[in-house]
Amino acid sequence: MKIKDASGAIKKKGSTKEMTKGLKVLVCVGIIFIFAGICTLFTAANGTVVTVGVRFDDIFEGRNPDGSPFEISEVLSDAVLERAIAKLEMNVTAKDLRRHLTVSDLVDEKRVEKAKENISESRDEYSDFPTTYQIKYESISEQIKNEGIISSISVFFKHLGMPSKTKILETVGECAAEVYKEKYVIDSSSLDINWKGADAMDYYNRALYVRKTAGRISRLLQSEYENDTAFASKQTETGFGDLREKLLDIDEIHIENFQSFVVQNGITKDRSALLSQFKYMKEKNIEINERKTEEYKINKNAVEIYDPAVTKVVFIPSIDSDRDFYMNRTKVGVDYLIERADRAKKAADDAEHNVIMYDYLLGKFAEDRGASKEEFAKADALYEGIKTSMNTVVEEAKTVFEDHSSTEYEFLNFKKPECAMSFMGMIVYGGKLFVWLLLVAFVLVGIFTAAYKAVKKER
Amino acid sequence: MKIMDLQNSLLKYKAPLAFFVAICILLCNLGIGVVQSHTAETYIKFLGDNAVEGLTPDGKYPLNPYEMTNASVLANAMDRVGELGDNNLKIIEGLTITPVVPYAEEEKYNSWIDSFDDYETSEENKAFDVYYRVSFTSDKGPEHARKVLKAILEEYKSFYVEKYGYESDVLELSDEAVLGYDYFESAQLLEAKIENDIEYFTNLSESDGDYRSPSTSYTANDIVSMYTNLRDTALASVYNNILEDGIARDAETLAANLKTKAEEAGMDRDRNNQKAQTQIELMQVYSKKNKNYLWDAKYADEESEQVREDTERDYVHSLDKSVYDSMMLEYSNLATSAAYSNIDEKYNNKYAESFLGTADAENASIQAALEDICSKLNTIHDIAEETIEDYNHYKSAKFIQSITGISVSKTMGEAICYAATIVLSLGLGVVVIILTELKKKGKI
Repeated sequence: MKIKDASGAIKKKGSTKEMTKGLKVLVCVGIIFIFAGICTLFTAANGTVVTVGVRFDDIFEGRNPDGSPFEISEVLSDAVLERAIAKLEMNVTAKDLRRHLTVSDLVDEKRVEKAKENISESRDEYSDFPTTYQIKYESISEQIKNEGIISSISVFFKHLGMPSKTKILETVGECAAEVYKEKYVIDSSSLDINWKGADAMDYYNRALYVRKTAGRISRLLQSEYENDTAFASKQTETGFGDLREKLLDIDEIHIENFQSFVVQNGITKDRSALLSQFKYMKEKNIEINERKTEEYKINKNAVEIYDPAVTKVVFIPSIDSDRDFYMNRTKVGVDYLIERADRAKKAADDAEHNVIMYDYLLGKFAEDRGASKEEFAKADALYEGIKTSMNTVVEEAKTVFEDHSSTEYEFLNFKKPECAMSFMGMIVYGGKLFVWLLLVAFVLVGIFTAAYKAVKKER
Repeated sequence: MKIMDLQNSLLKYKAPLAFFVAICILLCNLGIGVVQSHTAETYIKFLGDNAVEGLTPDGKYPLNPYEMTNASVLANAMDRVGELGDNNLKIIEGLTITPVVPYAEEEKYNSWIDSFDDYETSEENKAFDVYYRVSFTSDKGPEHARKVLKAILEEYKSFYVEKYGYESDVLELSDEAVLGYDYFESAQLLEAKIENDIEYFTNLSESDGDYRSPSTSYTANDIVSMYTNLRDTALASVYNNILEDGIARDAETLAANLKTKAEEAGMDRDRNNQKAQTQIELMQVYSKKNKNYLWDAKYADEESEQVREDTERDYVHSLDKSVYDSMMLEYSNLATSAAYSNIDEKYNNKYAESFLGTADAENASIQAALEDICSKLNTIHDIAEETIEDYNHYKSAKFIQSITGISVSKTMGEAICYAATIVLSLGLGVVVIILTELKKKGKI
């Protein structure tokens, strides 16, 4: 029934109706907007990320400092997580904690496409190994979502009792940096010398053992020096090169002196054992000499009877080490035989030389050459001297090592943790959610209105 | 008129139309949620000269990256991800491995194909692929796809080194195994074990002498040095004492054993000498006959008559040595073997002499010395094992390189789906409206 008053009257009624309707719509939209906003905030609060920068040269080839392949998942290994859990005094297992953690390369499709382009252009040296990574901690991560709704809810409640996500990530970051450094930086304990073992040995063997140890340590110092030539510890004002020099001096003078004194004076703790040792080594080298000499003769003989006319020789162009062309003869049987003969003869000669050496030593330590008490005392004194000076160098080296590893190495650099979703991300996410909720509301309203109208019609 | 009608009818039905489009969008959203999967992809490269030739690092087998789908690789990978199960088939379905052929190679190959009669040569001369794209598609979310792909690649790298990189392994020595024998035999076992390990590390130092293990700080040479020190001091002394004084728990059995070994060595020598002799005879016959075929003296000055050009190179054969050379090297091996056996016979007899007529005795100091050597050996072994673990991890970097990181993307383009849905639903809606209107007006 329409009230046909002055046309203004209808309009007025209509506009009020429209206004109320408009207001209702606005309120609904407002509620949906707020709801979307709250959901977005919840989702944003779910995750925290921390960026990791990898700071050493080998990473560009995808390698760790020792040359093995770099795997970012080492950052979330059991060793790291267990250490972090202990630090935070949490009551979870490493496996549990790992369910919340994910690591990403921060590599997108475009970057991979670019790599493919470069490969297709035959750029053989091309490599784009990522040097920045992101670790994300989520209360409810994808893995937990996959486990089901019950798991998600239980995790949510458990989470309320755990330390903050920022704290967890910071601690994991610290532990990861520590563990990584411990793994790839050579520990100063590798400089330790087994004096106990050396003391138990006879004088001559001791000299050999200490020599070998000094050699090993000086090689270690050399490779550390080559890695970082300029480094000098602030505490001792020496570098790896200086230490190596000191060690070589000890070897060339003190240990050399000790060894010759022992040999010249036939000083030994257990004469029969030492003589046994030399006798056996002499016999063994005689045997090696026999074997290798036979091998040498056989191969030499084979070269003599080799008939060159049977194998046709071909010349092929080759490049030598200076990248110059030359004509190289292809390898034939004679070449292999000569190589064998050569190796065998060298081994035989070495063995022969060893026999002479052991004969000499047997002479020096023979029964009738007893050393006097004074000479024993002197040998002991020389040995103690070696011990002292080597220990001094080792102590200094350890300080330098530790200085170096604490100041120079920052393999993994963890930045401050921040929210997983950036501001733009939140807007995009919230926007999408808002539109979706609007559509759902619209559809629902549509269904209800249609159903209402249908019911009304029936009545 | 028609257009005005259209506009009017559209306006009339704007609510149902909007409703219809909204429902379609929501259904599309639902559909995407169900059907959407994520693909993680990365590029890897096989390194080394052998890879360029299409072979594995030991040069024995053809390079086959599809081994990634090997059951053990997948099982270990899924264990790492924390999803043990027998859904290997599903993983294999999601995994895609494609070679990346450089443009230059493609062009080259295509130009060969054009001249069809060169097909066979071109197949042989086609370069082997060293770059591969590996991707994994998962419907459990982007992180799952990334995790699985990463795990599979890491496991494959270890698998690859294990299968094609290891030459041998340094094994633990058990005390009971070694010390359960007579003193002399125990000493021999210890010596053999040490020699074996020395050989292993010497080989290692020849290929990677500079590698220094970060856990132990030892290089291969350092470890060889430790082993030789043990062998040349403690072991040497014990060995000599045992032999000089003929110390044995059961001298008679030992002496008999050694005598038998000597006799066997003698027989080996005779047999190998005979074989070597046969080789020489065959080679003499061979060379006499071959001289007639290979080299025609009449044309000695004209090499072009002797060498046939443009023949297809038999690639495999050229890698092996010629028949004559093989025979010659075989002769060298046999004769050397015989000589060694001869020396073995001599020494075994000499050892047997030391134990003849000596009394059986337990010797506590020898036993103690052997036990000491055993424990020292195990200490060295611990360091050696750790060093090798680090080395094997390092070695895998020499075989396979990851060129890029792992990028994860949605398999299906969502924007296109939505756009298509909106356009189609609008279109359908408009069509339905027009038809309804036309029906109403009685035009249909």
